[in-house]
Amino acid sequence: MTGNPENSTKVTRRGFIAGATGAGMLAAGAATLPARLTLAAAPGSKRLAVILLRGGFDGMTLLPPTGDADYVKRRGPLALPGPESIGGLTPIGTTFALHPAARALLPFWTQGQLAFVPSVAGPDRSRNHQTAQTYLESATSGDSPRTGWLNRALGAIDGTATESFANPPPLILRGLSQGTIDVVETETPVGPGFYEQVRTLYQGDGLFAPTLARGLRERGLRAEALGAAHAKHADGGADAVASLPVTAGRAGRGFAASDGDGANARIAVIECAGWDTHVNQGRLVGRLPSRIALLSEAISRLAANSGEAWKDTIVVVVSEFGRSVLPNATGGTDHGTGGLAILVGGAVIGGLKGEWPGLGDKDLLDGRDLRPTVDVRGVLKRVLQDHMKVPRKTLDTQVFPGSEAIPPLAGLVRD
Amino acid sequence: MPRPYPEEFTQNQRLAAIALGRFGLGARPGDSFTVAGDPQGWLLKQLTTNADRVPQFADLPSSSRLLRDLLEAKRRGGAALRTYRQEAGQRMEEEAALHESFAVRTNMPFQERLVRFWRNHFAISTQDPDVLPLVFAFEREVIRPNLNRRFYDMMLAAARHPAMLIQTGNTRSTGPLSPRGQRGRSHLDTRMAEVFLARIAFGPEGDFREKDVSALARIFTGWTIRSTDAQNASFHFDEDRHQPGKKYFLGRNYPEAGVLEGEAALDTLSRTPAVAEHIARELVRYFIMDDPAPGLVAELVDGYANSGGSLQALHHTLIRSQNAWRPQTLKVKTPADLVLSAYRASGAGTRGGAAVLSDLKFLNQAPAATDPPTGWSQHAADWLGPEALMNRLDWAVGLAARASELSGLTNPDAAVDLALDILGPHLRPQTYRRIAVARTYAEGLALLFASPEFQRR
Repeated sequence: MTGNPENSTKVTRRGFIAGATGAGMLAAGAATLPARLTLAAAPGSKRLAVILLRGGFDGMTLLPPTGDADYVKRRGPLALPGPESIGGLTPIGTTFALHPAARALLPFWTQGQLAFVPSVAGPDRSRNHQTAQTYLESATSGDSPRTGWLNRALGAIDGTATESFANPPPLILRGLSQGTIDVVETETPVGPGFYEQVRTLYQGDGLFAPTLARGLRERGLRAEALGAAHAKHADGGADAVASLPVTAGRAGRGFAASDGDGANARIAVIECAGWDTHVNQGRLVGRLPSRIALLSEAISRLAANSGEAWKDTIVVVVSEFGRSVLPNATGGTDHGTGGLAILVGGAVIGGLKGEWPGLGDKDLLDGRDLRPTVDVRGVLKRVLQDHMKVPRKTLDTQVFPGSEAIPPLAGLVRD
Repeated sequence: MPRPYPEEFTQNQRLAAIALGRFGLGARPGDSFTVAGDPQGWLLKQLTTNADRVPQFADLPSSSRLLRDLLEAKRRGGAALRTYRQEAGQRMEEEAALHESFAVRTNMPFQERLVRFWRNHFAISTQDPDVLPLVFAFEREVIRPNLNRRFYDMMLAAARHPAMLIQTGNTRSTGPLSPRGQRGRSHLDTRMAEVFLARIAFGPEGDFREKDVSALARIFTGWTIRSTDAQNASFHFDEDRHQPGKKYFLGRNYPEAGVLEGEAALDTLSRTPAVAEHIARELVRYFIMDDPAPGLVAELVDGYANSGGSLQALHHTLIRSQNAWRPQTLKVKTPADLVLSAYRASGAGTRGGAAVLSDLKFLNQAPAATDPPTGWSQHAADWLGPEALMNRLDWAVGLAARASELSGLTNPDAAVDLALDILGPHLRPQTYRRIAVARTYAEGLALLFASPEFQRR
């Protein structure tokens, strides 16, 4: 890889086995879990980045349907002012508006490189982080799937690369067959014991020590109240998002590196926790808007760093589920169903895709969630078929088994 | 190997650390060496330099131009007004970014902090959509030119500025006995009088009565704005709205004198001992301690009074006072000052200030986004709750990662050297050791930003 060789490690298979212990420690002891990048090789010139927002992303904050007559009533205290009012939202079509925190995305919209699919979901309806994340990455039901759809799709491209050795690789890239994918992981900015180190620095400080203790307890308590498994999958700590721009920037540099450098990173998977906003998610400013700003910055960095390769790039941003349309009693939203998918890149046909289900009494799913209008597999199929040239039949049967009836969503990919 | 922890620090190194951290916006690499020659002189020099000649701001529009556009858009209404609001919001962000990027780069950080103190004192806020376009013009036209002049000059410029007149609704305030009031259009708005008495001059617990508020409100009737020509709009004294007759304000009769009544009232305020004490106490609270020591406040009041109400003398007395240089660091940095000091220390890229703005929003202190008319609190208790501290730590990690990426540094030794350079004698040995055993430069930097000595001043 070019870019920052001292910060990233090119890992051979042997290297991965050796490195696995450290990663295990990170997973087990992680009070914080930074955004993680995995790069993989693939033939051809097309680049695909998948950003997995773990925790359930409230797309209705990034792209609020301020033009929907029921919006203000449904969202209550979380409703944003429409673009006609002060607040800085930009109209996106007649129904939607872009949150000012996502302003870094506007140039892509203007250039026709940004597509929003406002209500997608897979077949999973559990509203459970672990189940829904497993489905989103494996596209198979069953208790413990061993392979991810992106790996199966890569294997299908021309029969090369299908095994990745990240420690452990994200499920989406995991495979069974032998292959030669190079996987590059980025150095995480801080180690797993960061809070512990800070706690030592604060020892004996009458203000910082007790405040930190309460802060840790409140984050811990919040997780505990929702169940320990919940915390593990959803709340990686907000620094996951804080380091997202840097992580995405590295993915962009990976995409830009020419084959002459011996690098051919074509696939990037970025995992980023911190989107499970049950408490005080914020409206124009606050916890969620800050994170949306970082996500937007991350995408624009990826674009800037990928240089010429951007025209051959598609970035897909998805989360395991959307959040409840109705706010909860603690200033946040709960696990929902339909959610926002974002596609951006030089190879994307911009625009609003798929139908808006509406927010009327009869429109909502179970009286609380956005009703999905597009199957997430339809979005991914279109990208894999037109962009990565995976045959339709392989998509229907191997990549997304049993999905013959789900057509690829039209109008997403430039040829 | 990093530099070893020094066996001792010189007196001037100690004073330089205070000058840079407590009175400035935090050290940049190498600053402590430069400033250690004459820490006090470095600060005093900033008090004699004009604050309003910032080349970076030279091309920004004047309030009279901005006001003209605002009035025009409001006249047209509908889609034109919507478009105007969009563009105004965008422009305000750009101006804010420019101001933050200037603060990261300035060689006169003490002067910049004084500008920010007084801007916050007048509490002009972006919350009102009609004031939002004017917020930074207010800083450029009211605060910066008057920083070294009398408090009276600054108050008068503020009271005549469209941002203040619009934010307080004074543009429509009309005395009951004014010609317009006699025609049945009476509308006495007391908000500007309240802001001047309860926030700017006396403070909320100050020694003034309800009838003083209403008298000052009558004095201010007719202080409004008007389009002067096709391109400009500005302050205008409207006789048609002004309440005639004498007014009784703060125990004294003001004969009828039109616009001069207001000027006389502000002059009285600037000479009132309780007012001097209020601004002295707020200034000490901003720079030194949440609960200002009475002795230090008294010194500042004397300096102000003996100079006939000069702000320059007030600021000068602060720097000259022994009590302002005590070694204990009692102030926790506000979110905004924490962010600026970290950019100055680490040389992280600001993307023209946009990155700083985004960090300020992350820590819930976007420039001038307070609820009017209170301004940002200077009490740590108001913004260092548990969640806020956790956000500070999250932010520290993110900025450290960005700074490390930009510098290309990976060796933690470089973070130790930086910590010693930036904090000098304030860096405690235990923090030095923690940073020395960090895994990477980024981790060392994150620990530096998180440390109590970096968070305090």
